[in-house]
This record gives sequence, structure tokens and C-alpha cells, in this order.
Amino acid sequence: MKKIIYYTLIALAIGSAGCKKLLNEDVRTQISNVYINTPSGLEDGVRGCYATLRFWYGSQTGGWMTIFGTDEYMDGNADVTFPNYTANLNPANGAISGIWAALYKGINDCNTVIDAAPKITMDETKKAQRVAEARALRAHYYFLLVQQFGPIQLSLTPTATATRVATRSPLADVYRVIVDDLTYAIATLPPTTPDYGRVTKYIAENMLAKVYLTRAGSSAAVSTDYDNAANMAKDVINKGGFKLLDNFSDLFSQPMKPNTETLWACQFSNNPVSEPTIAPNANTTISAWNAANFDFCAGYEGFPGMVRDLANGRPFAHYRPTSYMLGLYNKAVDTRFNQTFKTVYICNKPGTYTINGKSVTLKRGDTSTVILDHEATAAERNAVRYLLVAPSEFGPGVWPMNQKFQDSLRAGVNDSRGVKDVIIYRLAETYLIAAEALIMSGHPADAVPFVNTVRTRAAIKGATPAITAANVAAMQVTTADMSLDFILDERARELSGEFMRWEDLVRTGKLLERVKKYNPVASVLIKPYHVLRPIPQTQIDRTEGNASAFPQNQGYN
Amino acid sequence: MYKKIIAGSGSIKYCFSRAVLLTKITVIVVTVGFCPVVLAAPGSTILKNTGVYGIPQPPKQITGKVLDDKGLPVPGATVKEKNARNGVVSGADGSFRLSISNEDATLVISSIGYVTQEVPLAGRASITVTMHETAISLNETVVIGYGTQQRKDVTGAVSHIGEKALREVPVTNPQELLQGRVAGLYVTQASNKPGAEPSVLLRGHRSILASNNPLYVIDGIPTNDGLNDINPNEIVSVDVLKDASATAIYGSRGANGVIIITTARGNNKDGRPDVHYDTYFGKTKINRYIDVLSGPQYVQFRKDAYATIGVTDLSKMFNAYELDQIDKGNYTNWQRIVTQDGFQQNHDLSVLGGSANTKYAVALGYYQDKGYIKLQDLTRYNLRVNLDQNISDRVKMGISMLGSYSERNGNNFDPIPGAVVQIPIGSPYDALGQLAPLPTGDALMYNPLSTYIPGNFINLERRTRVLSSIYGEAEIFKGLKLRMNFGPDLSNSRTGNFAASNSAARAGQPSQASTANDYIFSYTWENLLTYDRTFGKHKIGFTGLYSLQQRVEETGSANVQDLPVDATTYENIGSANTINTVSSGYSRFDITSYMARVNYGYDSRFLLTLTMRADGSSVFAPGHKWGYFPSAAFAYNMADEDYIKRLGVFSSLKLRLSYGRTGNQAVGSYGTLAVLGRTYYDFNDVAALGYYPNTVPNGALKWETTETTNLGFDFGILKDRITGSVEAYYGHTFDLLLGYALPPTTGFDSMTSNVGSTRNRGIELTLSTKNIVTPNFRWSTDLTGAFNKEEIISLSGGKVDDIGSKRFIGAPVNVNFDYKKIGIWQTGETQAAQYGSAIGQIKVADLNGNGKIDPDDRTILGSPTPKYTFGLNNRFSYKGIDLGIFIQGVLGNQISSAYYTVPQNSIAFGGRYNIVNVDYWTPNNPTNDYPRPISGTSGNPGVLYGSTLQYFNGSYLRVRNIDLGYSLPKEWISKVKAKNVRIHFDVTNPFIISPYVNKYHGTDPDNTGLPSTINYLLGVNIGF
Repeated sequence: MKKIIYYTLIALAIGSAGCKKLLNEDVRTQISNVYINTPSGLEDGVRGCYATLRFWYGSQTGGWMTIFGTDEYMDGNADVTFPNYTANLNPANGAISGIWAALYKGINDCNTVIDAAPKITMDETKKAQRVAEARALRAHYYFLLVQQFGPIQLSLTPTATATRVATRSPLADVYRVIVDDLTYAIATLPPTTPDYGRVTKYIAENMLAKVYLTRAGSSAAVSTDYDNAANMAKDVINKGGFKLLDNFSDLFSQPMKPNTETLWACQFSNNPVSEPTIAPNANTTISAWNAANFDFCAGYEGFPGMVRDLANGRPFAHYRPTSYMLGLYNKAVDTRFNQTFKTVYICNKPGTYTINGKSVTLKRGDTSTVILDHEATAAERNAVRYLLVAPSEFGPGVWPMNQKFQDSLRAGVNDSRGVKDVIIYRLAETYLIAAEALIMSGHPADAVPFVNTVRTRAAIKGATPAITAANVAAMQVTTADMSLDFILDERARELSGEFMRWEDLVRTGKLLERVKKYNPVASVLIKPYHVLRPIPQTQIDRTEGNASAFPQNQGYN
Repeated sequence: MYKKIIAGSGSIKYCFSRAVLLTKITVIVVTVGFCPVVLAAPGSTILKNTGVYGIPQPPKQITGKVLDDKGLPVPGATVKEKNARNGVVSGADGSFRLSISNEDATLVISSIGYVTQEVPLAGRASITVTMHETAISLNETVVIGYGTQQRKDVTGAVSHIGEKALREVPVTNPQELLQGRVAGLYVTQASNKPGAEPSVLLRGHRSILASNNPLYVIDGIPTNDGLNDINPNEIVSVDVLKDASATAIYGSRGANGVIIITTARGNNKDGRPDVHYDTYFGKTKINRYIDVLSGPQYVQFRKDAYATIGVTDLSKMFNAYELDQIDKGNYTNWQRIVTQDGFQQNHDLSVLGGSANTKYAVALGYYQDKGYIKLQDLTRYNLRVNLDQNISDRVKMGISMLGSYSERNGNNFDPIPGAVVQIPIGSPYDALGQLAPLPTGDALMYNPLSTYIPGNFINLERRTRVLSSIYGEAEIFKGLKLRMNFGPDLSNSRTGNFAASNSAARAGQPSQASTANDYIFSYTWENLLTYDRTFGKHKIGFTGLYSLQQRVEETGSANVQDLPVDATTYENIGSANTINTVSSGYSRFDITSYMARVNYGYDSRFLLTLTMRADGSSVFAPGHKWGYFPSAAFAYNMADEDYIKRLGVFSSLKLRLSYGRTGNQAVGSYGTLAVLGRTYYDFNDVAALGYYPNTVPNGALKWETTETTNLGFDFGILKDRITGSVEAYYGHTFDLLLGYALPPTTGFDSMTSNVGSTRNRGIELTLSTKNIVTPNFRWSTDLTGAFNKEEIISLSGGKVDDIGSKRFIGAPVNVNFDYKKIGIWQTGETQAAQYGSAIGQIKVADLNGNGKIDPDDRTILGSPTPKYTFGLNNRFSYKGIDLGIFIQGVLGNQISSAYYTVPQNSIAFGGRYNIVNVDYWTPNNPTNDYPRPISGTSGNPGVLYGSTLQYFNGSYLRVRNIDLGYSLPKEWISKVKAKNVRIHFDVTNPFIISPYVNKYHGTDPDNTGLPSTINYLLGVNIGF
């Protein structure tokens, strides 16, 4: 008996000696966050910081936050969220809570690499440069958040433990962090990069110019903001080495390549490795694909001789240009209307159709439909063998569509993964930033050349140099034209649909006025408090102290 | 002598005991330990005791045979003369020969699992006794984990289902066997697809994040990898360990109860083995489709949706194709197109036999289920070999091997949601009889029939599983045994998917193919030392365990698109033009355990069980890997006590009290680590993949622990004609593993932590009655009922609700938290605008009365977990005919049915797609059921609070099964040398009473997303 107990004890002792090793976690597939503390981990971590850009630029939510409910575009279709300032724009809105979470996830990604860098032994210049990129991206995400939500939580270190403490820092503090980050980035980053898409010194300067311009219009304004904005923009224009493209349309032709005008673009690709079929892993409910091609695409399947195809796109028909938007151009001399809006459809389904009461046989390549900017007479309709659509006939899904985002290189006609880059900053906007800052700081005359540079490029190129010269002359403006409204009109003409209009209107204090004036659908319900978005209810519910610690924006409760 | 034997009756036996010993103990227990109880009980009504005591006569020999209900011999039954000391045990063929004192003596025949009988000889020299099985018998053998016990010695709460009850209803998976048969066990059939595994919940939810699944132990080996590979016909008993005393020996994994599954083993009788062949053929018919609008109803619905925005011109709401089809009255019910009559067949052949030193059981099974949804089917082949061999008097070894191979089609294919919303206007075929790719007027509504073109859509899983258990056992000296179990469990599954460009899944986009492999190897290695001895009135049993468990899973998959040739399907994915994803994975966990259990019995009246288990698991943080799980249980057999005997009511009565702790480790491997997630980006088309922090590390993550106190009574009344048990329990779970919801500003959604606690309190009743017992007609009833109250008692913030995670102090773990719908805003109700709503919209309650609808108006509407569950099984038999009716129900839960929800911006509710058949509001139909449809045009807010439409009372009472059987008379079947032949006809799910079904035309409250089905089945069991 004694022996048995003795042996048993020995057996147990052997067992327990072996188990210490046995109970260690055998991690193979997962990559521990310790990896970030290595040189290659830092590189991967900084790449990770960029991925959040895709949740905003090109994404449906990013478009809803910036394109909708403005003077440029109105709701084309009620199956989208909050374009009309209805009750859908509420704290439970999934799109808003999704983008809120996505941006804060991006901020935590940036904080993680910024925090890890000092622990890593590697080439110091390279390290500083990567940290500067992360800080510029952090500034960018905070800038997007502060423009949409006002005072927000400032997190500058990575989340390492479970915390439910959050608070809304004053606007001035948020802007101070953004300016600090960008100042560091400008001082550290090189002027160019071999990896098109990374933040450079001039991208940071351009961002800072916009930050100053925006802060100047906020309650956290600092007296030097407009001057600083103008100076930053001028620095980009004069020293950045960028140049406007000769043809406006080249900016959006496919495939999108680096060019002299684009400072920074959110990168999309038809490389399946970087565009997975599954939505990128993030703590959000929103997707990170470039869906702008869907959202802008108007209906055309009802047109004679037309069937849905890749080139024409998948008609989600969300963004309908307002008549203000369509009427902004002097079409005789300004190329930008035709480059921005698609009005002609070419038959892709040959057959015999009834058009305007006549039986017409359409061949592939024949004109199917032309969308007009005026009412057509019977004679005008009878003279052509295709369908004419007049403004009075615009209706659900039928209107001149913004074609900047049209994308024929997607994998399939209904594939939501757009491959076209989305431009974040381009030089034409930098000129307009400079002009706006100069006008606002009381130097309208100085603004004129900046505006005219942009307008000169936009002049229609004629058959002869003389015609071109005449068009350019017709495009020129003078000091008398310089006003905030003119700048907003010019920005609409140049930058229509480019993921920034809502912020432009809020920055200039014109949201309410212009929506009421130009957006017949949204004008009904818009209220003064709509210059801020609702704080997501999940944020308030999960914060210690709930609404007393993290109050809702006024008007939403 | 008498007292000594009494003490011996409390012995704990292990299933691996030598047969001789087993028989001996059986004899002792049954004869002496139990009979006095039976004899003491007054007024037997089972069989009229007409014993006549004549004058003493010289000893006389009588012969006889003991048979069971089916006419099969009962070996090992004790046959004894009443009020005398002579007794024998029946032989392998059930026969016996006994010397009796006089020819009018009364014989007492008893055997484990059967009702003890008294038969007056009345002068006969030869008798045949038919024994009837007991539902709950104090002397049935119960598997308690690392051993077996007789029911009367069990101290914990254990429900046992024997082979007979298991055979009543043909089922396709082991969980179904348990539905409504075990008090406190709630089985939900979440899907009626082929191969769908039901979910099992014992005594409510205790865990919020960690698993609430019980632990399954198959032939002694705990398994994590599903029961779908197990052929339910191979199972001979299921034991459900419910309280902490019973489950604590499984320590870390016992918190949600333990379900022990035992498969058939061979027998020691020499001679011809038993051969069984069971087969059935079944048909599944849909009895309720998802109730959608018919074609004409849908046309009206779209008109109503457009009328809301003032559009009445038909050409503005229907396109030319649709108008043409409406004119022709061309409508299609798409659910009928994608469904069919299902068909099942099952064949099981088993051979059980053995000799003095060898026992074997071999079984082959084939099961096929062609689902009622086209393209869904399951074919399963099973092989089982169980072998037990005595090597010497003291050494034995054996093996169980369960092998299965299955092919399952369409597991990830569900055409029903698409068919529900598909526009009913139009026809799947064009004028030429060809499949129309877009059969309706909508560019996104691909023809579901395109999926069924051969080779167009494949979703095939091939799965192999080999689950083995090998043991060796040696008796070192009397009472002390050493046993080693090794249980390797290997499963491998391979899934291949292909969808051609013109299938509905791809809808014209490039074809897509993928393959995925999942390889799992786990093993359990156990070393057991047991010691059982009886010293006078004291009976001691000791069990010691050291075990190791490991599970390794390796996965790999590849997903491609745009294959040049469809015929290659997923078999040549290298030919694709685009590779979407390639991935592989690895995960592992280890558990090391020590366990000790002591059983002590005094005089077979007082029973005590003490256990202690320590588990170390790799998934927890260093310093928190070990958990300790003690338990204690006390039982008191009261029936023998004079004060109970004097009552003259109880033929058996036992009081049980237990307390213990169990653990739950069911978090994924690596949960304590901070791991990175992949990000996707590129720089100028060159992939720039990165990493981001995906989880917040929790270096303090440890075992979730449940503490349960259980009070139980087992009773038998009227000579066990009424038997049953009552359990009351109180379970407290602390260090709850919880997804702790974080504010999004942290960059994370949640992290896993030990925070909070829950409580489960409940009462369970099990009652078996033999209502009528006559030689020709019998009627018996089994009733199970359970009440459970599940509550959260604290959360991360203490006794503070966590609204962000929808968890509330005092509420069940899962709740429906939403606004409360009180109707529809009716014409003239001017308050609608004040509440930010409009006429025809859903009216929700302003619960805080502040004059507006705000987040504070959300409330707990109900919980999907039922408060009451019950099952009622009635069995009738008349001569060879038997009938079983099994009724089952739940009460007090609230289900949600997603088809009824209207998302805020529903394009379906704008008339673009079809919807469920609801009574929606229009100015001419002022209903309070459903809001007004509103077409998709600018300037409307969509349907507000549409999620409030999805909640329904989930209570139901259903006839789960009716089983009618006929056993052919012996004289017929003996001609073909068969021992028994039974033909049976079953109907599953024929009838339900439920508000969700009867009032709201839903399909099934357990399975709201699919049509409901009735299954008809005809089968034969043959025994040779």
C-alpha cells in the first residue's frame, strides 16, 4: 500500500513538472502586438494607419457625411441614410456610429506606432519619418471628426487596458493637437516619397492650411489663422513642385496614376491582395470599399438600347445634383460641366425601340439618350433618333450624373470594390484655399490670381489658339467678384462631389443658408443644430457617467 | 450476514468491472438490498398478489423463463421464493430452475432496470415471467463520470435515459433524443436543414460570453467537436449530470452540465450473437411556408407604398415588363420553386456478442437526408467497433472506435431569404421556355433556378471523424484498480464551393471557387486509480485522476474567382484569373487536470461524496491558469427508515443535497494576448498590407466559476408505480467571462474580462407513472417540467446596467431591449407630429413621459430564454401494438423574427421587394399591426422604430412526435428465425399551438427563418 501511494505521488509529480510547459500558449497564427516594437513591425503598423482612409474616402458613409445634404447634391433615392436631416439623423444611426468607431480605431492605430517608436532601434531618420506620417494621419482623423462632431475625446496614447473614461475636450484643445501633429510632420517629412500615397511634407502643409482655414471659422479661431492658412497654401503652391494638369478630365481618367496636380489620394487598386473580398477587419459596421461609383451612378436601364454594364455602372442613384449645381457653369467656355456630368448614353443593347413615338433601330455605338439642360421642343425631339430627357423629366434615378468616380475596371458590374483612387488633396483646391484665406483676411485682390489660375485651366480648348484664348479670357474674374459665395461657387464647379462640400459649408457658416436656398429636399427639415452630427448613442451608453460625462450634441436629444 | 450484505449493496461499480463480480453484486444488491424495500411497501397493484400460503410440503423443482417486453430473454435476473432463502439467477437464455418449499409459493423476480414482480405459482411446475422496464429505477445503473453507480447510491442530480426511451423516436442527431425528456434541459431545433445541430441549454444561461453548451463525453472521452458525426442509433444510454456534485469531477468544463453518451457494447453470453437491423424511410413535407404577399397582394402593396408619396400612375411604379406580367396574371411563388419534398432513409446493422472473456459490438450505419430545400442533403456512413477483452483475471483492455464519413451539400446555401423578398410578378421561364436570368422587373433579382443548373452551384463538405477510446485496466489487489484511458479524436473536413457566373449567387459576376480544409486532432489521456472496499457497514470508494487534454486545429483555405472553365469547379482553382484570398491557421489549447473523489456510504442509508478537481488551462493568463473545483454531496435513503415505512406511501425515497464549484474556460485560445489584425491598403497599386491592434490584452483573464447548491428528492410510490424526482437548485456564477463593451473612442469595441456574476434558480420535476398495467394493455406517462429564473446580479460597473451591451441587473442574460410598440399613429392623432412621427408610422410608448421619444424610452421587452419548459410522454401498448405520443412545450419567452423587421430605410417596404403577409396600415385600413408602406423617394424618414415589429411571444405547446408500432407475433417471425420484428410509423412535428404560428402565421417559434416541416417515417426493426 505504501509503495503504491509512493509511486502514485511520483507519477503525479512527473505530471505536474511536465505541465508547466504544456500550459503555455502556442501562438503561431496570431501576431502579437509586440511585433509593432520591431523595425518591420513599425513599418507594418504605419501602413495599417493608412487603411482607415478607406473608411472615409470613397466609402458610402464618407460620401453621406460630406456630399449629402449640401447645396451640390440632394437625395436621389430614399434608400440611403440621413441626407435630408430627417429623424434618420439620430444617435442610433449605424453609419454615423460606424464611421465614429472607424476613425477612433485609426487614431488608436496611429497612437500605437507613435508610442512604440522610441523603443525601437533603427535608422533614426526613417523612424522619425514614419512617426511623422502617423502623426499626420492622426491629425487628419481628428480633423475629420472635429469638423463633423465638434468637441471630441482626445486619445493620444494607445489603449492598453479596459477604460470607459471618455470626455469631450474643448474645440481649442482638439485643434491644438492637430496643429502640433502637423507642425511636427511638416518639420520631419521629406518633400516627396517613392510610395505614392504616403504623407509628404507638402501634404501636411496643405492639411494644415485647411486646418487653419477651418479653425478660423470656428469658435476656437485664432487671429492669425487666415494668414497662416494663406501662407501654408502658398508654400505648397510655390515650393511643392506641383502643377495643374492641362486637361481637367485627365484627373479622373482610369487607371488613376500619380500626376503633377494630385498631392494625396486615398489608394484603391484592382490588386486582389490589397482589395480583399471580405471587408477589412475593423470594429465598425461600415465597409471600406470605394463605392462612390455606385452612389453617383444614375439610372439608365430604362433608356432605349441600354442595359446595365460595367462601363456605365451600377445605378444606386444616391446623389442627385441640384439645379443650382447644374446651373453653375458657363458651358460655352467652361469645360468642367461636361467633364463632370455625363449627359450622353451610347447604345449597348442593339434592337428596335420606340423613341418619341417612332420605331428606331439602334446599333451598338449609336446614341441612345441625351440628357438636356433645357426643355426640348417637339421639333427638336423629332429631329433626332435618340431619346431626349429634359429637366422637367428628371425623376427618380434620371439626371445628369457626376462621372468623376465612374469605374470600369471593377471586377464585375455589381462588384462594390471600386479600384479608382479618391483624391484627397489636389493643387486646384490649394489655390482656392489660398484665395479663400486671402478674401477672409481682407485681401481680395491678392486672391484673384489664384482663382484665375484654376479657371484658366478650366477654359474649353478651342480648335484654334485664338478660340482657346478667347475662352480663357472669358473665364477670368476680378477683385469685384471676390466673395465668400463666389469661392463656394467656384469650389462647387471645380470640386463637385469630391468628399468635402459639407465641411466647406459648415466652415464658411453657409450650410443652413445654402441648403435652404438650393436643396429643395433637405431645406424642409434642416435646423441650425445640424452643423454638427449626433454623437453615437453607443459612445454615450458605454462611457462611464453616460450623458453627463459625454453629452450629446445639442438638438439630438 | 444480513447487515453485511446491506452495506455491500451501496457499492460503486465501474462499467469495466469483471462480469462475474458485476453479476455477484447485482445479485446481492437486488436480492437483499432492494427486495425488503419492495416487500415492505404495501398493497401492490402491479399484479394482484394472490399468494396462498399452503401447508409445508417437501422441496419441489420448478423451471421457468424470464423474458422482457419484447420477448427477449433477461439473463441475470434474480428468482427467489418469497419469505424464503432460496434463490437463483437466470441464465443467458433467461431460463432458471429453482427448488421451492411448496407448489403454491410466490416467486419474486427482480433485475436491474425492471420492475420487480411477484408471481404466485398456484401449482404450476413451469412459468414464464415477462418483466417490464422501469423508467426511473433506484437500481438502474447510472453513469456518473469516471464510473457508474446504482441509482440508489447516486448523490448528485443525474438524469438517465435508457435505451428503450432512446429508441422510441427515430432522430438524426443525439441532441434531439434529449428534447423534452430531461427536466431543465432546453433543446432548440434552430434549423430543419439536413445535418443542422440543435442547441442545448441546461438550467439557463450562466455565462454571457463563454459557451453555455454542456460538455459531451462519448464513451468516456470529452469532446468539443460536435455530435453530428455520431449515429444516434448507436447510443444505448444518455446520462445528464446537472448539479455541481455530479459535474465537478469534470471541473473546468462542467459548469454547463455534462452529457454522457454511452454506445452499445457486446455481451458475455456464449452462443449466437444478437443481430439487429433497423431501417426507416421518411418524407419531409412543408406545412407552413414563410407567409409572404401573393402576387395580387404584392401589386396592391406597391400601389399603397406609392400612394403614400402621392404617386398613382401605374407606369411610375411598375415597369413595362411588370405591367405586362400583371396583365397576364403571371405570378410566381418563389418559395415553392426552391423547395421540394424531403426524403430520408436510414439503415443500421449491428452485431453484439461475445464469449466469457471477449465482448464485441460492431455496427454499420447509413443515413441519407435529402432536404426540403433543393441542393441541401446529408449522407452519413458510420462504423462502430467496441471490443472488450479479459487478458487475465486481473487485467482487461478494450477499445471503442466510432468512425464516420459524411457528405453534406448546401450547408451554407439558403435560398429562402431571397425567395421571400423576390418580386412575385413574373415567371422563372421566358416565352421560349428558357430560364430567364432576371425573371422579375428588378436588375438585382437573379433567377434562383439558375443555381440548380447542374454544376452551377456547389457547396460540398466531406467530413471524416474517427473518435476512439482505448483503455487498459488492472486490479492491483482487491478493490484497487488502475486504469488508463486514451481517447484520440481526429476529424478532418474539406469544403469545396463553386458558383458559376450565371448562378444566382454570382448574378453575372465572374465565377468564384474556394476550398477549405479543417483538420482537428485532440486527445484525452487519463490515468485513474480506484479503490472500493466495504468494511462492515462502511463502504468506501476512492477515485483519483490525472489527465491531459490537448486540441490542435489547423485550417487552410483558398478563394479564387474568374475561372476559365466552369467544369473545373473548385477542383482546379489554380487556373483562376484572380486569387482573392489564401489563408491558413493554427490554434491549440491544453488542459492538465487532477481529480480526487471519495464516496462513503454508511449502512446504505447515508451517502457522502466529496470531490476535488484542479484544472490548468493554457488559454488563461500566466498566474491564472489553474482553477480549483471542490464539491460535496450528501444523500439519505429514507425509505428503510421506520418513520417512512410507517407512512406506507413510499417504496423508495431519497433526499440529496449537494454543493460544488465548476468552471468554464470556453474562451478561445490566445484570448489573454494582444494580437494584431491585418489591414489592407496599397501604395500606387503595390500592396501595402499592415497590422493594427485588434484586441485589448487582458493579463488577468481567469476561470469563470459556477457555484451550485442542489436539493433533490427521488421517490417511488405504490411499489414504484409512481416514481420521480424533484430538484431545486441555486447556481451562482462569478468571475463571469464577459465581453466588456468599450466606448468606441478607445479604438476597440470590447474586451474579454472576468466581470460580473449571474444567478440561476429553478425547480425541476420528473414524474413517471404507470397508469394502467394489465397483461394486455398498458399505459404509462413520463412528465418533465422545469422552471428556471436567470438573472444578472452584477456587471463590470457593479450593480449598474450596461446599456451599451444590453445587459441589465435582475434581467436574464439575453433580452430584447427596444422601444415598445403600442400601435400605429392613426388619422387624426395630432400627437404624432409632437413625437417626431407621422400618421401611419409605428407608435412607441413614451415610457418616461417627457413628451418625446428618446433613448430612455427603450425597455426590456422580453427574453428569448423560456422560463418554463416541459415534456409529456404517453405510451400505450396493447398486445403487439404500441403507441407513443410526445408533447413538449415552452412558456415565457419572447422570440424575434427577422422577416418582420422593417429597417429604417427598407427598400422592400417601399414596395421594391416582397414582404411577409402583414396587416399594414393604409388610410382605409386603420390597423394597429403594421405601419404604412412608403415608397423610396426623397423627403420621407422611412419607417421609424421598425425593429419593434419583430418581437413575438415564443411560447408553444407541440406534439413533437407520434410513434405507432406493431410487433409481429412470435409464431410468425420464428419461421424466419427472427427474435423480434417491429414495424413502426412516426410523425414528427404534426401539430403546434403557439401564438406565433396561430395568430401571426409564422412558421415555427424555434425556427423563424425557414418554412416548417412535418416528417413522416415508416420503419422496421428486426432482431435475430
